Amino acid sequence: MKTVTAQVSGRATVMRRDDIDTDAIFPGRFLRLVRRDGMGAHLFADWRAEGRPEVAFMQRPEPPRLVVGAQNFGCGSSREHAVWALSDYGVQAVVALSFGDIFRNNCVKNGVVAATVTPADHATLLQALAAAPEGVLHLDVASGCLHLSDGNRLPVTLADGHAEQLLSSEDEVDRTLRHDAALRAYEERVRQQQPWLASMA
Amino acid sequence: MTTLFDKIWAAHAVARNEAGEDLVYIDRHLVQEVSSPQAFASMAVSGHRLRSAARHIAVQDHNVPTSADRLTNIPNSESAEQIATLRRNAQATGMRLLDLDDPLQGIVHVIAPELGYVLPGSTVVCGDSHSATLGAMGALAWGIGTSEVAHVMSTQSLWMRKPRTLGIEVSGALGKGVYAKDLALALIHHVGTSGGVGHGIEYFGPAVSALSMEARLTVCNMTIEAGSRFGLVAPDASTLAYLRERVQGAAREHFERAAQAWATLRTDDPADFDRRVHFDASTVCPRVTWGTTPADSAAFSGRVGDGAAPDDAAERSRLEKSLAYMGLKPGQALSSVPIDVAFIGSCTNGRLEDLRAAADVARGRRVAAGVRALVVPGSGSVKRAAEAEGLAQVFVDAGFEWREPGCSMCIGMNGDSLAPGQRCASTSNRNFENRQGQGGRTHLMSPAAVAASAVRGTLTDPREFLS
Repeated sequence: MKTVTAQVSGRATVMRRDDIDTDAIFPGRFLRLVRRDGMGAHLFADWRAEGRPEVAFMQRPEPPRLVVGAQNFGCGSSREHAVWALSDYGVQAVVALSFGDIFRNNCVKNGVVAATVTPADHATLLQALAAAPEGVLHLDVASGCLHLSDGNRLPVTLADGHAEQLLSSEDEVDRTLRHDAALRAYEERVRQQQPWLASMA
Repeated sequence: MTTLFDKIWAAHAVARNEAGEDLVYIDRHLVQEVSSPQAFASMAVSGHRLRSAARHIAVQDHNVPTSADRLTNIPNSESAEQIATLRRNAQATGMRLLDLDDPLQGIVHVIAPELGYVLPGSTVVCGDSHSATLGAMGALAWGIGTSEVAHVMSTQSLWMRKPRTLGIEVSGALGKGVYAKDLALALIHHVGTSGGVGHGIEYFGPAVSALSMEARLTVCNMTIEAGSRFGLVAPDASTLAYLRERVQGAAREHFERAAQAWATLRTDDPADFDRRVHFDASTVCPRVTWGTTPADSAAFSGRVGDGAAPDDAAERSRLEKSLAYMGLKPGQALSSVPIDVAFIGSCTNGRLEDLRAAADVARGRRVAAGVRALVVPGSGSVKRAAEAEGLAQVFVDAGFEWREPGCSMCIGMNGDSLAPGQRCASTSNRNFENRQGQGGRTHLMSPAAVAASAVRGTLTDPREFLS
């Protein structure tokens, strides 16, 4: 059974920079690791080593539950390690103006919410966090609603199908294999009509 | 009336769920050592098995040393363990592996077309964001994460919402000394790093038709740097000629019939795209990046920061940080910037035509004093062909290192990397901070431009060396 993510509650940190790529989130030299646990130790490793202000939030002992990003968060490399690292560190949701498409998919596969907000709501969110940096946010997946600590509520958008995946306890492969007949029908059709595609040999 | 993207998608969508996602059948899957170990491991835990071994091919590329003694010496123990892990997993599942000692080993996106593995109208995925490269063959090809790798191995399919389509029409023609890489950098500069998010891109128009297959692979390769997972070029006579020489097995046997079917693989009307962008190739000059995203580029004759139009405080702040990282000042002439390292290779520019273009500049010249220059062929086949036609000797005579195939200094995880503060003229695809090594500074450009920069010792327009 997979884990269900229905709500995320906690403190948020803001990363205002656009185009935060997955090389920054998880530097390439740690991709040599063949396990997926413990990746939080390498989260933003180079930026932390350089003492960059973007990751000053990581100096606190307790992690934020939410990251508020800007444009194109998680762009670049497909490395799922970036999401494993965020999740292992304690981040359960990223709210941004836009995402790298592969990163966004990788988030949902690991029970991490990746939600977009409109520029106007993003500005409201930044203002609210500036006024109350320690405020607790509450993100509800089913309703697509982000509750701010000042009582305001903002609508957030998940990619199509992502809310269903986050709320489902069924393993995705098992769910897919319920369509085995359709997959087999495709394979049979290709065998007959496109024999060049049916086999690599 | 519909687009090529929609035609291939429709032919592979075998079911739809309540959320509007399609279950897309995956004809071919490419596996590499970095993004696959955790997928094999999760399958072992969940009890799911490889559904169809013949539809997968594995290769060691990202993490392999490019030194001559690599078959007996992998200095980093984690790298050695990762390479051994793919070997064990391939053996256990019956998946074909192009291992380190295989003459066909190379960068996954270089070898897949070489082996005739990517066919027009097919779907191809790989746990690597540069998989869009393979769309140059007229296939839907895209990069996926490790969870999706496990899903493809277990089910031969993926759930996806069909993206919108973006048609990029390129008219005109590229001038002499201007290459596919320059076109790609110009396009990314034009649409922005997130301009393609949520879209599948098809490149078309006279300037695209005029590109060789290898040049199309370069353009499609960089699609992800504009935010799109898919780059696509409709198959044409060039595609057929390329494939006819390379396809194997069933595709060779049924080639003529396949070629007839592939003739229908085109967008009916440009009006069918959800969005369109027009671009004139004749306006493109050799380009070089000066910042830390692939959109931050300008002509070699330009200055640091050219083309940047910060419209808000966040963008101004990003540019300041980028230039501080790069050790550059706004307005500085690009052609005066000295380099320490020159790198020719990667899935973007590690093919034979790339090496020919670089050799045309390097021939009879010497790498500048103090510059380390490397050529890393994209595959064993590219390496042998380059040696046979004398390119390797041109590079060696000029003072370049001639190395074994792999991803090398594009990703910097296998011993080939920049030291802090080193500045590199590179044919790779990402100038992100720390990408080529902690503190390394990357300038993206074409292979000819890297060769020119290596010879001059500063960022250099290759046309200065072309008669």
